[in-house]
Amino acid sequence: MMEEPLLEAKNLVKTYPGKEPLHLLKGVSLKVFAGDAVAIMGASGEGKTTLLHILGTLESFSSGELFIAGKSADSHSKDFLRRCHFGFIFQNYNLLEDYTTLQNILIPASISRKETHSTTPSYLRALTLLDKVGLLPKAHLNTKHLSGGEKQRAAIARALMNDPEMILADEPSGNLDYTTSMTIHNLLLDCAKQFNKGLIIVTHDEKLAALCDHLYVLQNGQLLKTS
Amino acid sequence: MRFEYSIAFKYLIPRLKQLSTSIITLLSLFVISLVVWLVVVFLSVTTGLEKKWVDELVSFNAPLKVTPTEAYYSSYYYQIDRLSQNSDYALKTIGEKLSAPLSNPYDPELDSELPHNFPQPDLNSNGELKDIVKESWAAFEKVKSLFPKEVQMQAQEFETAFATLNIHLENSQSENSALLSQVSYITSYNGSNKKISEMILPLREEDAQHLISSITEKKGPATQPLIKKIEHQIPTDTLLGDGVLISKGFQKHGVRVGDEGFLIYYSPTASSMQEQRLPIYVAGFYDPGLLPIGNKILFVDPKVIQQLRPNFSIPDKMLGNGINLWFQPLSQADKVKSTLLQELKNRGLDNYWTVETYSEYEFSKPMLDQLKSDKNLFSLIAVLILLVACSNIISMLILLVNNKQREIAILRALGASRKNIALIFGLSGAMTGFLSSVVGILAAIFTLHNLHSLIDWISFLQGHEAFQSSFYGDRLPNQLSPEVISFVLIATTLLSFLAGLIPAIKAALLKPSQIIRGG
Repeated sequence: MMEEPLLEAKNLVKTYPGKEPLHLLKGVSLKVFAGDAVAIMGASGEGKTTLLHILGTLESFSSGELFIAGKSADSHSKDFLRRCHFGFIFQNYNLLEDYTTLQNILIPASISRKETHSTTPSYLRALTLLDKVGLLPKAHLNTKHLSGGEKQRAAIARALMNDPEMILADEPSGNLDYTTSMTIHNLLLDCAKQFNKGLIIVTHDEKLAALCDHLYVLQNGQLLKTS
Repeated sequence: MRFEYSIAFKYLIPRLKQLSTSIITLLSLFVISLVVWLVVVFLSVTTGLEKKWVDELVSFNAPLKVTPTEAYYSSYYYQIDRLSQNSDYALKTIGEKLSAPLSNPYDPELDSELPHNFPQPDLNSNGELKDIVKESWAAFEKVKSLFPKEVQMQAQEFETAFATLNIHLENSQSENSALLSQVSYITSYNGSNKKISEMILPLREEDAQHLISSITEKKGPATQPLIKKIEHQIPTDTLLGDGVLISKGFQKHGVRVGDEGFLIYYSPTASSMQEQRLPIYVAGFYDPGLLPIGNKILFVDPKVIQQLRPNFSIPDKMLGNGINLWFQPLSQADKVKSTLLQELKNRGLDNYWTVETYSEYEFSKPMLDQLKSDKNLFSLIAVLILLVACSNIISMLILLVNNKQREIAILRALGASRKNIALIFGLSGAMTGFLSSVVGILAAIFTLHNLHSLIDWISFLQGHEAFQSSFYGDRLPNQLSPEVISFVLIATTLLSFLAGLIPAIKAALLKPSQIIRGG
């Protein structure tokens, strides 16, 4: 029996209307399976982040089809899909200020109406993930006191909190130095493999792209697979 | 809603980093608290005043009054006593009808033939004359049995007459004396009514001394019974006359307990109406409250009323004979009235009686209606002021939405719906409103506890009494009612929630993708 892709995009088109409409994506197709790590590269302004946001249902597309876990993305609310099927990692970390590391990691569980007090499975899972990313000692520290690398590690833990099938990462090491970047790359790929997640990374970093199973380049609105 | 609540709570905690939002939040809280404080203090005072006035009103006149209609006075049942030897050819009061052995005193053997235009008797199913009073009394008893014992229903006959009160004022400083005269309503004193007893003022030192000297002057050392506080009965003295209770308004004219005078009334004789004088003395003072006719009411022993009965023929709604129905609490008044009317109707007696609750009395209705209108008007104004105060929340939350755009976008990316986001800001508004209400209510409770010090201070500042004691009593009454607290809490929280909706919609419509990409 053929394996079903976790995410499948068919001929996605994104056009920004206006006097001179901007055709950013001109029929993008992509399949991502469990355990796959996919890197998308491309020059700035080609629409990599837009594509990632469309795949993660943060943004709408003009035409085409998007399937998540074998079902059309229209069959569920976008909020539900983001809550249950996707974990996001951003270049700017996007952790909530005035919250501790642990509280940030528990937020996806709170949004999903799960109990998060200290004896609940969600709380224990958050601690396990913090341990996995090496931030357990800083669980109760306000995130503003974390370094860039630590913030991104916290973001990885948060993305995994609701145990989604897909991790979508936008320039995860864009703001980090070389050594920290390498640590984050390894951690991200390790987590994806260990938890059998589908991983899509938008990056300019060729070293990170080289570590992924598949490499695509977005050019002139087309997604081209490279060897 | 725990998630939305925890985020909203976090947003409302003032932070140095968000100084402008924090200042506007505190300002909104202060303004709403101030309005809530004002509303609670005002409504508590008006509620207290209403209770005081209604209490005073009900002290004079029971919560429910049953008075005979024109149909009763023109009925065979009432008129027949005038033509019956068994009734000494005299009309009977309700009390006398109740204790009369015969329902129909007319005896064709003894009495002259009835005029051809004499009213037809109202007969029951057995062909006997309906005993309107006794059957109505049975209706009262039935109604009494339908209510729980705590209501303590009690029916009592009342009689009110009128006479001219003359009091001789003796000036202790000189030999001169003056005469004070006033046409007054004379009503029977009901000692079992605790509320009337509460309205009797304690004997002043000068009153006690004057009373002792008045008695000593007449018959030697004063007897103690006259000097103690009036409770169940107004005292009578063989030399001084019948005791009367008069309004405290007489005090400012120099009237003291022990002052003597007359009740002047007119009684028919064979040839003319003749002036009669009944010696009285001032036995005490009562506080009439705000009743428009309060100062004109005199309380006397029921037997004094009997002598003044000839005056009943004068048409005045305040005069006459009827039944007071006492019960508590007053909130039962409408229910008691409708039950009684139904019971009288079942017995075919409803056309003989007018049943009125205290809020329908001719002399109190305008005042109570006005007070109710004032309260409603102020409540409306209060809601409008609250609306303006709560509108501060709109600007506070719009600023907050602008400050929190990135967080909103992150929450949306993590799966929060537009509804979740809208609820966060709606709750922020409602929580600000609720918190402000609590602060305002606590401040109001503190103010009401220290109201008299505050009034003394205001009086001192303006150089005269802030609230006239003749209207408001010696101490401005106030009553913190649960209705006022509920009204303020619900109205403020709801208005604040509604005020939070505009920013909430703005927050919900933010596009997370654009904000996140904006860096």
